[in-house]
Amino acid sequence: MVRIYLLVLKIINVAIFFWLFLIFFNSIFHFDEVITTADNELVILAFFGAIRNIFSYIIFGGGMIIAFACAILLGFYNNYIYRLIDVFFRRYLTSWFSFDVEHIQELLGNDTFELQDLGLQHIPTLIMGETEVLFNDLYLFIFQVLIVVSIIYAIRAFYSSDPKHSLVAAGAIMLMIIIPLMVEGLRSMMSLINIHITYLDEMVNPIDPSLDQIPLDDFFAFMASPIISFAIISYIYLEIAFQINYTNTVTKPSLERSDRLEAQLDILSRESYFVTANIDKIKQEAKEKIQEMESEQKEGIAIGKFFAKTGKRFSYVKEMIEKKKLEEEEKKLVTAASKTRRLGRYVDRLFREDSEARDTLTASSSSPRSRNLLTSTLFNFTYRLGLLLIISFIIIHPHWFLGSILHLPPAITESVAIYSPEIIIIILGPIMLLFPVISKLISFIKHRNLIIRLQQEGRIKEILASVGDYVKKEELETPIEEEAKEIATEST
Amino acid sequence: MFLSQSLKKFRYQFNPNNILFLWFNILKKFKEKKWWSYILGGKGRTLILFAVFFLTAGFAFVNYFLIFFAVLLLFSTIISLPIFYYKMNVEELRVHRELEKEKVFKDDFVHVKVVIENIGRNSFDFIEIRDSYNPQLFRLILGENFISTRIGPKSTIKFSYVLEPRVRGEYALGPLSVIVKDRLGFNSVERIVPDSVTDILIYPPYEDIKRIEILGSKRSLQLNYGVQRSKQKGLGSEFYGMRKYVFGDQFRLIDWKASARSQTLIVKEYESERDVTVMIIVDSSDTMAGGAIENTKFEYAIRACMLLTKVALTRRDNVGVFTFSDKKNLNFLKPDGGEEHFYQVLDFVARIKPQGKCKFIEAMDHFTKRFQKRSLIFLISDLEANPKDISQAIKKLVPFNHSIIVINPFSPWFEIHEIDLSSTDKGLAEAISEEMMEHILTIRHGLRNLGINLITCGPDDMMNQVLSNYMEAKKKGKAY
Repeated sequence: MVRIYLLVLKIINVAIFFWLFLIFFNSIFHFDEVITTADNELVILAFFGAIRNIFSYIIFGGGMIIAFACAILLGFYNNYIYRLIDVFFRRYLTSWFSFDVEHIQELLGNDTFELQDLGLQHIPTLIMGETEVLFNDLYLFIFQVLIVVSIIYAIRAFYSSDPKHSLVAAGAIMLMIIIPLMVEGLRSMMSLINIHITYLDEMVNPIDPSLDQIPLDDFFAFMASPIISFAIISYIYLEIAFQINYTNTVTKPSLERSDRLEAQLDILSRESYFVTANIDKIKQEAKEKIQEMESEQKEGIAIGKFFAKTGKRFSYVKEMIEKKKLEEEEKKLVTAASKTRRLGRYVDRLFREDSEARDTLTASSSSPRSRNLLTSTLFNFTYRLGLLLIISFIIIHPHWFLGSILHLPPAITESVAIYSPEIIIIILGPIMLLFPVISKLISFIKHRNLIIRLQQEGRIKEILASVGDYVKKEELETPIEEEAKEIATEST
Repeated sequence: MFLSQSLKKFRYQFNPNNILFLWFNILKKFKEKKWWSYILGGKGRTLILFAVFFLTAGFAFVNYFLIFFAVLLLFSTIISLPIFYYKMNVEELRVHRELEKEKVFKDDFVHVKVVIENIGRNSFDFIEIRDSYNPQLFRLILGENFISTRIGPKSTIKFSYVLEPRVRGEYALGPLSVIVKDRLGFNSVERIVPDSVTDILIYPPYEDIKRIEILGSKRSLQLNYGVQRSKQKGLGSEFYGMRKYVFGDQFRLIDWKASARSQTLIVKEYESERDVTVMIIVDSSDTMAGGAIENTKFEYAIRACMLLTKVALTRRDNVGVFTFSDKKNLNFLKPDGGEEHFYQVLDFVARIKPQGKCKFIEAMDHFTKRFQKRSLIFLISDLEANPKDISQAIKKLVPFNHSIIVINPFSPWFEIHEIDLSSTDKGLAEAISEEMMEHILTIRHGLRNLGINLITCGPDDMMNQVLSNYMEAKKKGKAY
């Protein structure tokens, strides 16, 4: 049941991600502006085409240089060889590379240029031209990469329950907003100092202008705007990802533990019966093995021999190691078998005597119920989101907060500074600090009340005794013989 | 009464110093630049980093969308903090451990149950309970010693695991630690449950005793075990039989007539109901703890002591134990008989730890002051002390007319437990064993002058040597 609940949560989150995507591409981001280049070519194709061309020019030019260099170094460079290399590269190898003639003409600024005229002197110009194209496309290409990353991580989040994946998925979408803003900011900064970079100026801004037009004065209009809805849905997506992670962390270990322990107990009972039935055989096998190994040793192990110091020199370490080897062999068979049998017997007895032992071992009762989880998730999610929206609105609207709640004079509330975004910091800082301070106060008051209550009840000494050495504990004398006897009886 | 008991039992009790301690720790963490760990968990910190990045970007590009989103992220980490502290009444979370038994034989199993009870009205969304044990001393056989779960109000959760003690002795199990987190893992508090350490006494392995019991029940050791009568020479005793003379028999027991008839020395044997007092003196100095932790000389000595006690008590002898190292570690259990006494010996030896320097002379002085009765003494020691001191110490026992047998576990045989030794280690081991052998031979020579036999043994034959020497001593009627 818990697993189904988890699956449902994951499906909901995937649906939210899909919704997020829809809002993003419909209201915030103009995807059509980043999917094609200025030449109406798909960005991906143009980007990889530019990379391919750069490598082609490098290989073509490099090959030519190497061929000429080899001819010169080997000493048979003359007119004929020059022509041979030149013709080979211009007429045959160019056709192998499938260069786009029109593109080359465009890069070289020569409409009459033919592929057969391609020479070593053109290569640097072409590489530079392609690099420029590549950089122009790179900006657009980043958006495509971010979209792919976002989708991949959203899928991974569905499978792994790790909020890290959801953070990356949402972060990638946010980066698609931040990057054009950065470009726009840089452009504005440059224009302030009268510097105009063509490359920068040509970069498209796929962000919808509505991103800067958030209705700040009306709470409902504010909440209803697609931009703020997008922010809220992004947050909900992350919040649910964390809730999924919580549900998974709380339930998965218990479920896995239960399955694992059940499997272990099953194997143990089977092995235990097998060992009990075959113990004599196992012992016999072990004995035979040891005898086999012992017969290989010409001389036995005896400490007397070591002390006698007569006859062939006794190597203590050699004997010791041989003996250990024998023990290892014995251990492998008999000890393992014996332990399995004993453990099997012990577990049988434990389950007979302690009715809840099986449940506690598998911790099957510790797994939370899906109903409880659902209720707590809904409650937690609702109050967190509600509170967050209110607080965020207050922080985003310092004018309203300072005027209506704090009743500050109009000289302040109507000042220019109030309408600048930096004023948010003035409210953000104190409100943020309020939460840890309140929580510490709660903690302090609760603990103080507890101490007072305990002091009133006169039990503080007793409690301190359990914490430290405030009161010396009285040692109880118990008849150890009876206890030990009992244990020995159990053990046998 | 119930509340008082439960408060004593449950570990989340309060110490007024905790407040000071808490603030002290906060200040300390501020100094260590770890102050945020008091507020945020790992996930919270990640989210804060994201938020700060978006907030900076929002201010830099004057974008309210990014500022709004950053504020949402920022507050999501701390918004639950007051409620977390309000609901987190750790005092209401009572955790304790239930041991199936607090005394257990080595290689036996012990079932450890941890009970977590939430007596409060609030649920704990996320708790992690971990029960600690020393993996060198215990082996986890079944189950797990930790749990991560949610606990509702007025409910109880139990989990358990099975441990196998690996080493004899008195050891601690615990403490229990509790980590309470908020449901999203942004905030957490870790507490060690006070007074959650339980002592567990591990007896030596019962295997040897069990084997003897099985043999005894089968009556396969007719002469060695299961025979209740003790043979004893002397006037007024009941005639038992005749046998050939063996070296060490008293001349007055020789039956000259029978000897003349058979042309070989024959001695008469008597039996009596009189008890022999067997004193087992075990060296508990730190040198006895050498080798693999589970198979030290001391562990073998304790096993030998248990075995000898069991056999001697079954033969209606009285058994006492004395363990010694330095002045601080002299433990004496007075000799007694009966089946009950076996468990006293068991409990006594289970608590002894090998520690301190071996002070033979002081130990024997102490022993002779405590015990003077003529008895059969088994002294089990690796004899890693000055030979002169050893001879001098054992000399102190001679005037009391004890029959003394020195069992010497030969150190190198016990201490080398690795199979794959490098050539350097092998050379070193050879050299050490040669030196040790010379040392033992010197002591043996000194003891032989006192008429005391020194038996050197390895791990394989130690039990046999102890048993056979006891049987031999009984046969010869020593220490009556």
